[in-house]
Amino acid sequence: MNAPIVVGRGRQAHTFDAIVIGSGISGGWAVKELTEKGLDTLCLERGRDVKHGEYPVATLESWQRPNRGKNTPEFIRANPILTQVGAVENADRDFFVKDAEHPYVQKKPFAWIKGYQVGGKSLLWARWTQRWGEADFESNAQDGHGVDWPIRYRDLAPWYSYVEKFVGISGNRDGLAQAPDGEFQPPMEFNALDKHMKAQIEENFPGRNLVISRTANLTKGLKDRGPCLYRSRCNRGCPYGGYFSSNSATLPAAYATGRLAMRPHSLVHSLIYDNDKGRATGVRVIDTNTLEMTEFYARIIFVNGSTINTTVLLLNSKSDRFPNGFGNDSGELGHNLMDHNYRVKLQASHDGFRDRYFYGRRPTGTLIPRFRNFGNDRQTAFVRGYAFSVFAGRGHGNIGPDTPPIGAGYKQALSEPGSWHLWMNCMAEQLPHHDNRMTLSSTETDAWGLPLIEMECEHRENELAMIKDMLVTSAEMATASGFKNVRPWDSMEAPGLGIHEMGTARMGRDPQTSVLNGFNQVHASPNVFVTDGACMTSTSWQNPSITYMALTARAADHAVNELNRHNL
Amino acid sequence: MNRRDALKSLLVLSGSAAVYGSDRFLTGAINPPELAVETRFTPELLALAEEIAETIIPATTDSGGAKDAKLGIFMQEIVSLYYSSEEQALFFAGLDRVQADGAAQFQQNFVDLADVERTAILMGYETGEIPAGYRAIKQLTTWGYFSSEVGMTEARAFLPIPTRYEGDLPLKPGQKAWAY
Repeated sequence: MNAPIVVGRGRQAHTFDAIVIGSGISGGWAVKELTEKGLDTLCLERGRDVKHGEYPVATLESWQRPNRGKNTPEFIRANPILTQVGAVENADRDFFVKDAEHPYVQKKPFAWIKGYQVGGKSLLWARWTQRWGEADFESNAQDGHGVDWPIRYRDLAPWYSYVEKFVGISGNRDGLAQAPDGEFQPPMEFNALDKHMKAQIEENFPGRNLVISRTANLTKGLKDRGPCLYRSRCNRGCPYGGYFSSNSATLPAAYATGRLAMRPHSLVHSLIYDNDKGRATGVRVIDTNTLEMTEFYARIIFVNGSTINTTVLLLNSKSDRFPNGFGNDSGELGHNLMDHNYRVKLQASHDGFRDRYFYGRRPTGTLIPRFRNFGNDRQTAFVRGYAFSVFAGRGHGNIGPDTPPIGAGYKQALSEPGSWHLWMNCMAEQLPHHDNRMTLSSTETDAWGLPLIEMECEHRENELAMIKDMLVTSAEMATASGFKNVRPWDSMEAPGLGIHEMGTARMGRDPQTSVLNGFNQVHASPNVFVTDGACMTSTSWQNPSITYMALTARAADHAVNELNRHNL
Repeated sequence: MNRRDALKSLLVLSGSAAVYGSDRFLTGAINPPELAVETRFTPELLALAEEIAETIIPATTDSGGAKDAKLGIFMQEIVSLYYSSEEQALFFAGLDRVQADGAAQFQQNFVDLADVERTAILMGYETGEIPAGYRAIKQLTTWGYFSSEVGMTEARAFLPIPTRYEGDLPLKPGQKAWAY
């Protein structure tokens, strides 16, 4: 379908210096950087507007929510994919896209979790922000999986610093090469069991560490945001601005420039490619309320639709020049879909530390950074590595053999603190593989007339070998720390539930084998930038958002420099 | 993260996994829609359920009990919405059993019994054979109470806006658990 071509004064009103597609964690950064550098910028967001501070369930207690906040049977029945995400129950469910709202085809099981609103999933993210290390940018080149990253840690390090200072990252300077120190606010404290585990793991397993996760919750106020008030209800939106989101941080900064035009309910159908100019000149946009189509124009376009929707847009942008999708000369567009492997979990309990407690609810956990195939560790069964996120906490119920099973004594016991417990979850690298991919259906379309997405992604030999190892290492660390009832297991969950989908429009040095160059520009149309998860050439083991942010700020800087040099 | 695992984790960390009725939600079994409205909760059965709950979690000097937390209505809502027809049948059989035992042992309706008599009936279950449905009643009572306003603000230590986090503090004698 073709949009009416916008002409005359209307065309002027539809023309901007820059267009940013998506307002989530990377789109928010693109908008902030481009507007602050003087570009009139249009942000196109497919979902509704969410204004910072307008978070309707943020301060509700359990008894104030229907069914104490539990998902209703109807909700579970209607959302078999979404309700696999535990966080949905505590979160503002309106921040998640319901299964029926955007169906897709699972050629192989893949859980695709989406957030369509201004701010995207930045309202929902886990806020863990470890930097990548030097080795992580070199691994593809070293073991031959995927293509070489076109950048190294030194290229990104100053941009990590740049975004960290604005985001506000709490963390300790641990001096670990696999998770370099950054620009940190004071770290959050360990609890008694964290301290014990750290000591036991670091003593018994040289090369392994347990640190407080670097986290985008403010331990000190930053401008008019925060500090964190330790309610730990982040995924309902924080009216206090205690954590970083597009809504709380980047978008207000962009609005303050007076150069941001935000257009919600605007689903981008495709990029417009001008054969004569040899570049993209604008976008075709569907109004999601009226389904009417219009066009907007700009000199540069940032695509930040979140991995899968970004690549849908590129695949759907067909022209004489790009018959197989925008910038897809390499044939790699849609391929090398990745997600962190979260399948190994561990639960255990601890009998000690009954005389220790805490005050407040820390909105983060501790981290055991990658130790496999790092330093002196060499594995033969698999390449790369994994981390564990660790949550040690104290439950309710001081129940002993003499506790009455009913009555005042029972009530009293349950009113007191209980025993300490452990939860560990792996976060493991998934290798890029050409056959892990997304394609567009040639027959079925969605409510907006766009092709349905077909997912075909699975964990393969290396990931499965890592799972075996993680079942062993998680248990040995828990056991060495004195835990009882140590139970590791493989959840067998489908890819996607990590909600770290990456790849499908990877960066690389060679236009024959990659979609984007070292500054996130489409090789064949350098005024189009992709800086969300789609750009990722490998996953490494860290939560990815801080890396998207650094890549976005770096790409925006490059874009404006190139505009000023008249190269774009 | 798998929802069930995540929920388990949440329950473990909040301590709820030990008993408390919420493991009902780990099974994934849910009600077909035609059973969503449960009409078997007569006013008499609601009162009975609430008095059983009050026997399990009574009002004490420092905090209200199950009746103050309106656990009859709570059980009606949860049983109606979430229990399968088989689980509902067990739940109602549990109520009937308590009523029958009140009549058999003390020749009165359970709601008219003295506290010590009610306790004797339930302690019989706790120390002997657990009748069908009693465990569900106890779990619903415990979960419902400690997620209610009364349970969270009176029985446990309520901290809606902590403003700070201190990770490692001595537990004071008699200190209550944080409500969350």
